[in-house]
Order: sequence, then C-alpha cells, then structure tokens
Amino acid sequence: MVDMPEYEVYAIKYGDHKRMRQENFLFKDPHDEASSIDFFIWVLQGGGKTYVVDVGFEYREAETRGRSLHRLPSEAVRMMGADPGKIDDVIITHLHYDHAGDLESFPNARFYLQDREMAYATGRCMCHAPLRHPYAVDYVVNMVRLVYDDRVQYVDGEMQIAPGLSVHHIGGHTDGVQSVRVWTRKGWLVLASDANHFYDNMAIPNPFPIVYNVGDMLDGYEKLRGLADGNEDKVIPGHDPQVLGLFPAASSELEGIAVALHEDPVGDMNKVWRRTK
Amino acid sequence: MTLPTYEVYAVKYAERASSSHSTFVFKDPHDAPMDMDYFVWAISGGGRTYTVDLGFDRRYERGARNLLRTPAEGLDLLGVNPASVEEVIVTHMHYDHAGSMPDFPNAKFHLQDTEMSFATGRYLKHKAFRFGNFVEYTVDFVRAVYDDRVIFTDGAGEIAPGITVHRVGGHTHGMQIVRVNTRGGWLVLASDAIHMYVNMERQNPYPAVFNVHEMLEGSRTALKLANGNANMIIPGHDPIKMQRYSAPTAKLDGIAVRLD
Repeated sequence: MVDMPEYEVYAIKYGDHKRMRQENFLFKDPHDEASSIDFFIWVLQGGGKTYVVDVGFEYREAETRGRSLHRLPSEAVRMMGADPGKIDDVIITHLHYDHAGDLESFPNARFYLQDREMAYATGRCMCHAPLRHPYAVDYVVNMVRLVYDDRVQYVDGEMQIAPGLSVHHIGGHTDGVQSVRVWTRKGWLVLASDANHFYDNMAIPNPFPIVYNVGDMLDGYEKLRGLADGNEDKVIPGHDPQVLGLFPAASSELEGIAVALHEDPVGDMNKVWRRTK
Repeated sequence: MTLPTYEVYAVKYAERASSSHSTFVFKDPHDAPMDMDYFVWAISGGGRTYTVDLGFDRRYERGARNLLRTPAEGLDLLGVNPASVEEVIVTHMHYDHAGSMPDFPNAKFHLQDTEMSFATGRYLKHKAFRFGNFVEYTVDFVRAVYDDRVIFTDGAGEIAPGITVHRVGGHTHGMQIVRVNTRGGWLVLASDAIHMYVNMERQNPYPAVFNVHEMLEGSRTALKLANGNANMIIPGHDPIKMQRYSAPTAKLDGIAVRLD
C-alpha cells in the first residue's frame, strides 16, 4: 500500500445568510426558528501541496441574491497561507452558484468535476425554474470555457486525486454533486459539501429542499457514512454553522472564520447527531 | 388524419475546397479534390417555416471556409425572415451548424440531450473534437437553456405533424436527423450523419466522427426513415445537391434549391 500523507483540512467561512430553520427541510419540521446558512470553502494541505474544495460566489452574485459575502473565496484561501494563483487542483463539488463562482481567481488550476454535474447544469433539467434557480449561468458558462481550455478534469463516479484524497459521486441534491474523502490523523474525513447541508438533514433524516432526486439524496447519507468508515462524526456538512463551534479554530486570528476539521472536536458531537435525549 | 406536406429548401451559405482524403475514414490511394458546401435548410408548410441549423456567422473565422452570406441572409433571400422563425432544429452543435443564434432572436431551438452533454463534456478536451466546436456558440446554447429557449429531445421526437427528429449519434454524440413529409414522400435531412452522397454510397463515413459504429448505423437509419429510397436522403455538405435540384427562382440560382 502506498503511504498516504495525513492531510490537514480546514473549513473557511466566506459568507452567510439568515433564514428560517423550516427552509432547510423538504418535509415540514416541527420546529421553526431563526436560522442561518453558512457558506464555506475547504482547504486541504498534505503531501506538500494545497488543494481547494469549491470556490464559492463573488460580489455580483452575492448582491443579486442578497447574500452576505464576508470575503472572496480566493481571499479565504489566502488567509490559509496559500496563493490562489499557485493552486494546481480545485475540486468543484457541484456547479451551484455558492460553490462555483470565483473560478477566475485560480488561473492555473485544474478543476475536478463530475460528468453528470455539467450535463445536469447545461441540460434539460435547467428548463425547470426551480432546478435552475441555484445555478448562475455566468458561472456555468465560465466552466464551459474551461472545458474548451482543457482545464477541467471530468470524473465519472470516483477518482483518486492524490494518495489519501479522492472524490465520490453522490447525487441527489444535484445529479452530479460529489463529496471528498481525505486521509487525516484521525482516519478518513468526508467533506460532504451539499450531499449533506446540515447535521439535521442527515440525522433526522429530512433532505434539504433543494433537491433533484430525493432517493439519491437519502441514499447519499448512507454513502457518506460508508466513506467515513461508518463514523458519521467524520462527515462534515456543507452549510451548517455549527461546524465553526464544533472544531478548534485554525488559529487564534481565524476564530469564528476557519476551523481545523482534522483535529478532535471541541464541541458535543452527540448533540448534533441527536444521540442524547 | 393525413399529415401535412412541407416544402423543403437548402440554402447554401459557404463553401470550401477539400479533398477525398479529408472526406473518408478509410482512405483510398488517390487523393482527389472534393469540395464542400455549407447549408441551412428551411421547411415550410401550414403557414409556418421551421429552419434546420444555424450555420456559422462572422464571429467565426477560420481561413479556408468561405462565408458567402450568413445563414440569416441566405434565408432572407429565400423569403424567410429569420426574426420571425419560431423553431429551429439544430442537428448538432458543430460550429458550422450552431453558430448564428443572435440572428434568430425569437426562436426556440430543438436539440438532443446527448448533444449538449457532448459539447460541454469530457471529450471536448481532445483537440480532435474541439476542432468542430466553437466555444462561443456552445456558450450561446448554454445561455439559451437558461432563457428557456432550448427544447431537448431524447432520441426521437415530433416537432410538428409530419416533421420528426431522430438521434443517430456517430458524427457527434447527439447528432440528429430530420424526417419531413413532402409531396414526394418522406424526405430525410441527414445533415452530418451523411456529409456526402459518396459517404453513403461507399459506406465510408466522413472522418470527423465520434463513434464510427453509430455513424454507420446512422446511415442505415436515414435510409429506413426515407422508406428505403436513397434519393430521398439529403446529405449535409454535398455540392452535388446544387446540381441535382433546382433553384425555386432564377434569382436564387446557386444560392438555394428546392429539395422536395
């Protein structure tokens, strides 16, 4: 077996949006309260390289959709000590506006994307306004241009990007959403991205209401657990504000902004998974 | 119910000098001159005109291809106002078939699912395929999807009574051909499923091909859809078309021919 480097994995918040808890569920949830959705990108460091997962949105789309953009996703990468211009590999979990916007800030990167995501984002499903809504056509078009520049590495299902780092098609939320599995000091860690938005979506389970195929989304929660060797604590949701409190800050200056997911949690994992009554 | 019949026209908008080695997958020892014409097609009947393909426009510049007139200008000469065309069948997204969308501001575009996924997908990283597609035209189509102006077909579909499209693949993954009911029976606009009459006659396809098996099958499918009558199949690029058929008016000599 090839030696796998242990990666350090950071979630960095770049924006947020206030909303009601009810908006996070497909099926009516008994509790409704003020809630917030956080927007993250993820930075992985290992084997002497830095990898970026997703590139968020930029100012124009933030304004169009009334979202708070605290910093450009590329700026978030810079805060982790990496130069976006020198990043070689960016994983795009899916092409929704909040994951695929700041592409131009990574002029030397290759983008890992599922075949099915591009087909979904440019195909007949986009003739339906509800399915189209989370996509920004300008971002999709930018990715098409990158295809023609031979800067997109398509993935059909799963692919190892480096030893200890792989992507896995999950589907459900969009037809081509993929999650990331990465080797860390505490074993396999899974960045679910939008294969699971909030701990509660997977815990109840009650899917996030932006969904293409509900069956695939529910199956996806099982796939995510499997990728984490059955330990759901190691499945990191894509938008849950609790993530920032559950893991230690990346540094004291980055308190409330970036957390180290490869470290042991400092918060109560039982609570987020509703294991305690 | 009897199907309506349609008049079908080919409008030539460009031409290019080429050779037989550029025309066949399987080469014969002699490389002979073999020119190519570029067409769009118009299907008229029941007070409506459908057009087939968008050709390329002046945004696309690649040397030898001689743009004689934009497809829109060509249709205009035939008496079809591009701005009033409501439905365009796009056989595939190659630059010479998918180009002049801005000249058709009120149209919706019929396209195969597999053609869009091909034109935006993994194979486009290969120069061999990218050569056929022009990114600006692909981008036009993606934007059109988001504007609700693309109507996708998966396989076979009816555009109107007496006009159907049929995915054959081969040349590109989502290549489709058009079957039209005419006064002379079923006519098949093969577009680039069959570039030249000789590609069909010799069962030797044009070398711009994604899947050779599907391209060979596509030729047979075209024949079947033409009820076995090869004379009712119209190849996509053959200059002979201009000689086999006659112009609807003297003014359109060398520009347009009536195919039905």
